[in-house]
Amino acid sequence: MQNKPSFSQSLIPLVCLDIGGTLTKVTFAAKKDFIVNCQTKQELKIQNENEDYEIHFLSHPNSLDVLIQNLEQIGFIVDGESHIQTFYITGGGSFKYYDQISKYGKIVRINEFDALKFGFKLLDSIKYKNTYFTFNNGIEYLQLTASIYPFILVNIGSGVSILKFDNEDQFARISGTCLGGGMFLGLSHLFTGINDFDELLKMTKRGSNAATDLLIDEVHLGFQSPTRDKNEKHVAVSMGKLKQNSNLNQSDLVKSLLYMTTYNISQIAFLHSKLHNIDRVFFSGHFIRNHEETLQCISEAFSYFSKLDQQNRHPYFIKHDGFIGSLGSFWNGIQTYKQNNNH
Amino acid sequence: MQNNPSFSQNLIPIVCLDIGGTLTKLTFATKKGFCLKCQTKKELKIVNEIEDYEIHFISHPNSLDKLIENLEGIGFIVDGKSYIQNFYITGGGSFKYYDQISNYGKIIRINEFDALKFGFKLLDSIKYKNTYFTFNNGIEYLQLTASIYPFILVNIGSGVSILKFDNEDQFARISGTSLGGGMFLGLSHLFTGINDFDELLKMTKQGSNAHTDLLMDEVHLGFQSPTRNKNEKHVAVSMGKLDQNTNINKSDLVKSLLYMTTYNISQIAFLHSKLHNIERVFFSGHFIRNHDETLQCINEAFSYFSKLDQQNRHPYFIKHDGFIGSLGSFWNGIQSFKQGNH
Repeated sequence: MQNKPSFSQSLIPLVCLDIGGTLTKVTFAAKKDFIVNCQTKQELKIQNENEDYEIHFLSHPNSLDVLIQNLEQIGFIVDGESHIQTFYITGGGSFKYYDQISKYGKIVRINEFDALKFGFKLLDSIKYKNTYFTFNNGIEYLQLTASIYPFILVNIGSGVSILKFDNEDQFARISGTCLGGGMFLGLSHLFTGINDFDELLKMTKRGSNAATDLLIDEVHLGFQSPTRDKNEKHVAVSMGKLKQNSNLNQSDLVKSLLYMTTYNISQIAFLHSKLHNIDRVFFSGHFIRNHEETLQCISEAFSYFSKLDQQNRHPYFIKHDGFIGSLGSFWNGIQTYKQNNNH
Repeated sequence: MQNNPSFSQNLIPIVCLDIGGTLTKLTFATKKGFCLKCQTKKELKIVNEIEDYEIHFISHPNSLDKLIENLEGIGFIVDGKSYIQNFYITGGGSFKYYDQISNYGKIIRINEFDALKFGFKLLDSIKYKNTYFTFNNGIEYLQLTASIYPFILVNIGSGVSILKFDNEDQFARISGTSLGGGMFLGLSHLFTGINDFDELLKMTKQGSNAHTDLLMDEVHLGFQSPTRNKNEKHVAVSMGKLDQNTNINKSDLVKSLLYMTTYNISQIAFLHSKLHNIERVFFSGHFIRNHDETLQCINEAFSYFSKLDQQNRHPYFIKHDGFIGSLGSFWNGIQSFKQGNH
């Protein structure tokens, strides 16, 4: 084992966890320029211009051992002694770990709704510039100067939840759809035997949906859209060629399923944005996991429905996607910590 | 050949056709009570209370020979001579037949948009009582006393078109989705090898989606819907169980695909109805073909989304679905005929 440092005054003694179905997300803070010995997600580090600390992120598959190991490496646990005042914990998988974690510090439970709300609240309050982005064959960060509220958040996991954030203290689930990541994965697995999501996404790069979908310029649309001429390559009938031909390659089918899934969700999202009169629509969730193929698909899909409506809108994405909950737990913790320490 | 009657004064000498990709729909009128020798869809016959004619409907697979046979059977063509003044023709498949049909009468082309518009206009103007219905384990006809306008029409064929009818003279395509009947058929065929739509629908009767879909009471929904308790058996994740287990039977998968297709279209339809502030939503199209299973699915789906929105709405269906175009051609024809003869 490597040489452990004594507990550093540079570490803020709170550890914020979001324990999900498979992954544990950890968020903690250290004074600026503190060198963290443990492997963190450097690209996610948040420097708070108003305060003198930086926020660090790491994630690992759920495991108490790995968690403790990480906490030791960071320096929260020195020679078996924990210097953690409080754990702020959220996430559906967290209840399994309470007993064991409580040996290392007091536990404060934050429910998932609140964690999400506080996460965005924190990002908005510090006007953090490097998390929200649009995607058009590459990332383009939003340089926010004003508040992000109100906005709609479309969270695509196995299923899809559509949430409306009115302001920093108020949000609600307004809708959803069962045609989400689980459908994509289930149908892909059924037809290809592959259920590794990352592998399926790689396959979409090689595939073409021209062999599976009937495109707009290939059908006589009984009722023609006024913008028809400009949209010839868009899909008129998903899987429209499969009723005759089922001899196709797996990459083509998976690509088709990706289009089907992303276009459909984008349409439903756009309709909600119109219904609620909210321009900003963010997409998040484990289905996206900030993979380029998916970001590009959603970007094109949402823009397509926006153009059909004579608008020119683009969807937004979140670099800290997946960590908003633990960031929200952190926000909760840091308020209390500052109160107690008279900051 | 059977004994042909001489041309009857009871036949109104216009023939209205809607020739689609595979089927020809035929609409014509006779004086009330006239006995037809030819096989028609009796359940669709429209008795016009205001005028003295009845409207009859036939459909057959596209074929000029079959068409002529039917026209002879009705009595429009007697001993090889046609007594048809005008054909009013619509439909994407019609251009192939113009030359041959023109041997039997003058052709007037009606475009599909207009035909559809006129079809609803006719039904509305005569306040026809036995076409629009709701479905809840059985048909319940709407007894309309007022106009059906405005309404939204969701036409589900291979793809889906969503149309808004503001009034009897104005409508437009407002939206659509590529996740329609073609997707249902394509994915079903891919998995089962069956591409006969009627056979697939039969299979859904034996299937259960509990083996393929993750239902609401089986998942921890990160963000819980306020009406969650009442919706435990609804689908939370379509095909959600297939990521682990692909050893499922065909009927279960096809049923799942039917739910997926109908629920998704119903949600999109409902959202448009809210966006445009139009309560009446009609579903039509070759995917539905007024099969009980599909009518029931769409009814449950649309009602579900309506309830989530604290409303209690039901979708409507059309008994003359598939024949609205030819009925619209007929409306066009009968206006001209009446002008010409009165």
